[in-house]
Amino acid sequence: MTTNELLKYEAVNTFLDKVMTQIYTEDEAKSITFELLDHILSLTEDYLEAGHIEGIAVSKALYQMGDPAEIGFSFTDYEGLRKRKMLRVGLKLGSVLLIALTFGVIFVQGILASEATDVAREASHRSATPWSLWYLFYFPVLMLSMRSSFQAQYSLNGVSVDRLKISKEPLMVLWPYKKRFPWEYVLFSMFFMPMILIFVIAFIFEGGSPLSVVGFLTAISLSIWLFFHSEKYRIPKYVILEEGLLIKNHLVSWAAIDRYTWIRDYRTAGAMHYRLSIEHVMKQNLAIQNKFNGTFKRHIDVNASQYATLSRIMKEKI
Amino acid sequence: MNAYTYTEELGHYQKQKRRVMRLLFIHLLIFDSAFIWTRAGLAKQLITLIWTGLLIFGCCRFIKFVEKKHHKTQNTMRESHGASSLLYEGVDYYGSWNRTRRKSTVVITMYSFIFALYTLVLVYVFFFLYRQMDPNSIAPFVLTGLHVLLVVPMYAPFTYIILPRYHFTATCIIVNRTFAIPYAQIRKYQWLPQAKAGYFLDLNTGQHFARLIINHLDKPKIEELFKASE
Repeated sequence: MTTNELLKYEAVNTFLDKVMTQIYTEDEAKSITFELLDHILSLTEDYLEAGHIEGIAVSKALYQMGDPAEIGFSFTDYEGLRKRKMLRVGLKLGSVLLIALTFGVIFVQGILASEATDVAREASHRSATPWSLWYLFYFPVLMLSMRSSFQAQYSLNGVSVDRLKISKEPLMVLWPYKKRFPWEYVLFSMFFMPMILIFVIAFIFEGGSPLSVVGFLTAISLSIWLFFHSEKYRIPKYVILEEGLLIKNHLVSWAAIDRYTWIRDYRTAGAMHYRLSIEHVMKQNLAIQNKFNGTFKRHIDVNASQYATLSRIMKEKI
Repeated sequence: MNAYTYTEELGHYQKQKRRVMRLLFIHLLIFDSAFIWTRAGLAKQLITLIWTGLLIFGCCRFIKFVEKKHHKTQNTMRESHGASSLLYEGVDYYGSWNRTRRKSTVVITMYSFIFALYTLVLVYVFFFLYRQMDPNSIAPFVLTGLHVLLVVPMYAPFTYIILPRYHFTATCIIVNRTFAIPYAQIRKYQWLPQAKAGYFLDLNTGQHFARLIINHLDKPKIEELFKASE
């Protein structure tokens, strides 16, 4: 018997699909598929040698394999998860520190460069420092409190998974896929190039060092890139649970989702994948004083090979 | 289980609100007095007194105008649900207090940000206003100390009035003392068990979404209320 003959059995495909729903990436899933097929094949051959007919031998082999969800779950690479999390957090911290260091260097350079030749200038420098420090704390706290109050209005934000007691074994883990370089964002940022160039030229014209400009721009660009690039190491990013959708470690319950739509993801490199758009609709009702009326949306990237399974789950749950 | 009526709850709420407003007013008076005191000369002090007085008067009128609308809504609610017993209570997840009759637990500290902001404003007021009065005098420290002391009795009533609350009666849910949702209108709901005791309750009526924190003892009883209306 060969693996191709084995794959003609629907039970084998169902078994493999169930295992795959627990695997974190497509590449891992493919390599595990071959392993599992080999194992099922050897078990089937043993049963065939024992005198069973093909269909029964396959069923017995699958039964002996055990619960497919548990098998898939057992392949979870906890060490890999921990390392990726450390890398992601490290990169984010690194980007924040880089920005803080860049502005810190500019701040210190500004103080040192301007020599106090008269009392008024000295006094203004003394009062400027507490002002700057005060703003350094005030605006982040203001931003955080505004963000918190906005979150109160946003139903699709979800609850942090650390706050919940949820099912350990997921229904499905969504696989990441390769995306092409986002040329549209680069073109968008080119729009601001003339403004930045004017500032740079003015700075150099005023006696500033070109090297410090280059250093500043490089540091800021690097820190922004690091911050967004770190998200690449968040695997898994989306998990489907019995309770709802786990999006970046926040659970969005099924009750929060009113409807969903499927669209093609135009940002993929190579094969066409999908974007699942989940929506919560706030209908305007004049009797109720809603602070915000509209549709809240969130997008989830779905690998093409998982579209059918996820589509079925979404139909059941919503 | 709460054994008091909606009218009593409303009375308690208004009492806490007045308390917060009174304390805020005292804060403002202290700040305003210090501001007037730092003006050089009697004429400037008088002018500052008049325009800050007018400003405060204007703000009070505006607050009263806004409150009038709220009172109207609350009176409408009182007429329709005043006699209803409040069976259970849920607080909005994005608040900061999971309070039952027996114990209080801080859940989220969004309000800590507000108080952190207040502290920073106080630091600003201390450094850039009070210190200008007389760098060697003890007055700036006394004034700042007064502000800090006045925040302490304000913390509990402030979090009580600002936290959106959902009161469960026998027939409906009263949402933040503003409107009521009959149980039959709830399209979808879902219980999410918390890692520590208690549940999150996601309520979706189509026009309103809420994520509440519910005591684990109240959960089965609330579930019965929902099922009775189906």
